[in-house]
Amino acid sequence: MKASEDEPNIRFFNFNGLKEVHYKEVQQTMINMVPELSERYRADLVQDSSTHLASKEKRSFGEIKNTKDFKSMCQSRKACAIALLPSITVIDYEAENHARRLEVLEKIEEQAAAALTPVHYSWINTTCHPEVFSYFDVDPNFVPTVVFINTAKNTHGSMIG
Amino acid sequence: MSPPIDAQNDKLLVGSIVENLAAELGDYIDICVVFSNDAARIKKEFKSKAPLWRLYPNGASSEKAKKEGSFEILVPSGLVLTEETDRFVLQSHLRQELFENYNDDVKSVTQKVLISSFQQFANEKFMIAYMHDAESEGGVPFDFRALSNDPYLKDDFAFFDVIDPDDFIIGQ
Repeated sequence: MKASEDEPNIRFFNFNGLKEVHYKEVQQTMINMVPELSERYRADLVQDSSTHLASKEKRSFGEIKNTKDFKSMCQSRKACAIALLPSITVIDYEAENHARRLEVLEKIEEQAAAALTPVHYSWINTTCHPEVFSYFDVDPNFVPTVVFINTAKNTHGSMIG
Repeated sequence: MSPPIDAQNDKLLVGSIVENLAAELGDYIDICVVFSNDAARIKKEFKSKAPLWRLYPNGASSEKAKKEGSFEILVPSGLVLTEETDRFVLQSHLRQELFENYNDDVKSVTQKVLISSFQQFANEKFMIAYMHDAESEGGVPFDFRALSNDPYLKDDFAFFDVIDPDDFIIGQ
């Protein structure tokens, strides 16, 4: 063990009888040898768990505009549902349809939050992001549709009809 | 060559290999699988048919260093992902490549050097030595090698590998 002012002589610590090295076990033992390290480790654990809880609890329905949004609104969740919506707002009836679809989705998200359903809802503007069709194997003729993603299993499926 | 991966089923099979590796090493190694379509940049970059297994060097910080230090893992030919035994062979092969090419911070030293290092590091670091017989199978365990890169331990600990130490030093 490291020499210090209190203990100027080298001290030995023996992992008695340890036949196999298990990462976590040894890591914890070593961290506990250094009080400052142990303190930092525990502080990080507390921060990690509170960040995790905060991200778990915080639900919000919205548009996915970039990769960062996709990560926070979908990839960091257990499961998510993304509505692929063409957003044409220059034609009045299309704009009304779009607004109505968003209202419906928002209601579903609220219901999911109330029921503690692990599926988080969001939407992507396919007029601006046509590349999502190939990402989710969706035929562009089938929009509007909803893609369900199981992030834990890295699988997805879309609604037809 | 293995059959091309283009079906959801194949994705699941590849996913199961990666999940098994992650279950074994996930506490300290980041393992990921990337599924790309024909338009993906990564696919164009390597101009190769899927599946493509690449090993990226651990500890490299920049994208350039990661890219330059990476290489393709050549897998045994004729493996069929739907066969469990073949998946096991592939998984073992990937695991072996990872173990052989992992960059650790364990210094292989003789007992004499270890003792002199006590003086050198005594006031700076805790010294952790893995001592074993020359004949022991597998050499230094992967867990020990990975510990040498642990972000919490890096500053305060030095890791050593000592082969065939004398009894007196083991007794310490």
